[in-house]
Amino acid sequence: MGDNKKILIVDDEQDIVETLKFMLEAQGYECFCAYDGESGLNMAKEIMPDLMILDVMMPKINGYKISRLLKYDTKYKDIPIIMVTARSQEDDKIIGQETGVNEYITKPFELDEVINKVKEYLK
Amino acid sequence: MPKILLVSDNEKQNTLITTALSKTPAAVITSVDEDAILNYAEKGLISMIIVDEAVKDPDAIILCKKLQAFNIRENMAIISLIAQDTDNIELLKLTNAYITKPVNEKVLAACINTNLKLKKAIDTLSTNNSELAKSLYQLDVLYNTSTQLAGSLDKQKLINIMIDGLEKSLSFSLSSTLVFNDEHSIDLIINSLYGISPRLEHSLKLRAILSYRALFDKKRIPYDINIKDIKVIKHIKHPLEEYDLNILKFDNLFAPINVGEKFFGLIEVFREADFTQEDTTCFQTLARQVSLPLENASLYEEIKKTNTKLEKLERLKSEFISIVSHELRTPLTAIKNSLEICLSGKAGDVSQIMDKFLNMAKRNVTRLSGIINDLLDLSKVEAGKMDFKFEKANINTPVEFIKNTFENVAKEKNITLTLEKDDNLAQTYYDNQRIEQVMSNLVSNAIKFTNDNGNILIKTEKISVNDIDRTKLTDIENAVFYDNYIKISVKDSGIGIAPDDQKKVFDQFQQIENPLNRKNGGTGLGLPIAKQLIEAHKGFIWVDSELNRGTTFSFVIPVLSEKEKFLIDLDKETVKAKACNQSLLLVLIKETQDNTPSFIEDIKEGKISIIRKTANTKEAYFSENCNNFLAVMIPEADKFAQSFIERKIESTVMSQDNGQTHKIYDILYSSATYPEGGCESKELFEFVENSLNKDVLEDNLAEV
Repeated sequence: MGDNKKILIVDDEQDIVETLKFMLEAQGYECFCAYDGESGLNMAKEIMPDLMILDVMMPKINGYKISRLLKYDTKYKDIPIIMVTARSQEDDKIIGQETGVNEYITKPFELDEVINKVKEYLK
Repeated sequence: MPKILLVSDNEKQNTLITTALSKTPAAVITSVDEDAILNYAEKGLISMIIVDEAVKDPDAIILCKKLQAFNIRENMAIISLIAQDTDNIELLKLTNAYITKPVNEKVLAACINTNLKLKKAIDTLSTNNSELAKSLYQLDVLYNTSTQLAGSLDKQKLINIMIDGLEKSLSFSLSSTLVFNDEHSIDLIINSLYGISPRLEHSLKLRAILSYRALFDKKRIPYDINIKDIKVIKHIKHPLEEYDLNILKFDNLFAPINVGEKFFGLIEVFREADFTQEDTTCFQTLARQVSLPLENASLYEEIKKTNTKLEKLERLKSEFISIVSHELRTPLTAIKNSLEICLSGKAGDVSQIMDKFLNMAKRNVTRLSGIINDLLDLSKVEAGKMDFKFEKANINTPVEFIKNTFENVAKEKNITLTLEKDDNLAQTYYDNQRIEQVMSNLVSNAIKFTNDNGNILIKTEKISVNDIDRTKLTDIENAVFYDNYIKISVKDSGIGIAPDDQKKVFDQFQQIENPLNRKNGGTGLGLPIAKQLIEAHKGFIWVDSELNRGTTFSFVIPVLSEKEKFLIDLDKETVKAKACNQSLLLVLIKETQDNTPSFIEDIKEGKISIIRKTANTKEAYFSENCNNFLAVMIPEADKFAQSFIERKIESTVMSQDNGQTHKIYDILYSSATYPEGGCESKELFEFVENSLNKDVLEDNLAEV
């Protein structure tokens, strides 16, 4: 389980981060958390996570921008990104996918859904 | 009394003539002062001049020539006194008649009388003529003005048209028009030949207020006006000269501008020359004519105001619902996650009773999410923000899918769920996800309201527009009907809906009094959403029901040709573009040879070019007679520019795969920052480049 894979969770909603972290750690993953876009981006470059869970609407840098910046940098472009957001318009999904996001999950989501996706990418 | 001027220095002759003429109705004056004579003639004070050939100072011929210059309209008879054997032909030519000397009293009187009669006849004729011309002119102005008045709903413009008409028909010196915009905004529009002195301006204001008050009984004045509230708007023709208070002594006309009780203002005009009866009639007609369009204009204004307010409220409501729903989702997620953690047992042991209540909490959180989704859907589709993915396919697919999904639920109540589908349905444009949503709503409702052991029949069939019973439809004022439709109906043997409630089922937040409905929960938004979704498909939804016998919900979706579909899309995009003050770009895409075309390469190689930027995109579609179009609009350039490129590649590939000649490409969005006028492909490329994060574009290009 987990094999010490590193997951970075970036969301300005601490409660969401907390619950995700709890469940993912229970699966044996090592979790890192950031609560705004800027520190999220820095942390990603620093720790080179195996997967990222990103919120869209965040202070400083939004999720799309982080995704874009990472996905067009050869060093980081292979990190899978799961985008989590309260927005659910079709457009958002399209933008998400076009900025290189691998998965797109709409709030309110099922924890199991997120965990299954994570497992899929970290197989 | 007609006046005769005698120009002669022969005293004896003068006495003779004066005596002779005392028997005619004319008065005689004599003069040999050239200036005085010409002055009389210029002012038209005399009817006849008798010039003695013998007069040397002034010279008779020169004098007659000068007189003729004032006599263009022949309203003055010039008669010469000549010697019997005269050879003064020139003088004879210059005069209307002659009398030979020595003067014979009788001949003289006869000649004068004849000429006086002639003169009178000419006068009458010319007066009639000029009056006729004036009346004709006034009529023409009236006609033109009333035509113009009918064509406007702008208050300011209407008043200006009226003043303009009055100026043309009356050539007034000054007009002063008081116009009420509202209680504290009153304009005094002064149109004047010359400038206005400050004290004249002040007294015109006072005069307008007094005239206004005089129109009403003291108690009945609609609202009292203060001189400070009056804003003066002046239109001066010759500002170098100035009118002062003396203009108030000119002849004037006055009229209120009103329709019944409704009062718009008043107008007063001044003119140096007196107004005739015809002028008065013309003035009053114009003042009356303007009031009706003014009333229309003010009604129109009111409607417009209310409408804007309503639109704003509607938008606020949608935005409010949308924001609230978004804001609710995050805390809901946190609650749901926490519950799941507890239920998973990972946070410690869960007793049976704890499990029961945690599950209850979870169930209700899920229900709450459903309600929020409904609200969000409704606000989105109402605000036109819902994005539809219309694809051409067979509608049996989603219908069958829903039937299979609900089979087990139906079985639980021992309800027979049957699908009777037409296998030869034409393909039509629909959004699979949305049709599934509508079907799921209809079928779950049917199951909900059908008692155990009942049956539900789902049916698909093709129908023509004439098979639709329009009396069952609601909100079809602006609906467009197409020739052919596909009809999907869900018929249950349930409890039915009372006739009064049948029209209400599609109204928002209308929960029909029904214990079952309450018991089963729900927001009552399912059917309103279904209606909006179907209408977005250019279709209709309706209900047939009989209490205790069952209910049939039916909807139809038009079978559209590609051209019709394209026009619908263009209309939609045009509306969207207008809403954000943008124009629609039409991009022509030429066929590409290889199977992996890239948008950027297409631009570079000139395979994609903008054919025109036009409001009338339909026209472009037909006139260019071209296979492939892309309407491009990018409201949020940075965010969308990328998707723009990638979606383009996708759709190009797609279109080549199915090898259709008239494939209409994806409809995207355009930018307000787009350069004005037409564009070459180079400019489009620059535009895309500028809209994107530059680094990203370079990466993109490198990859390509």
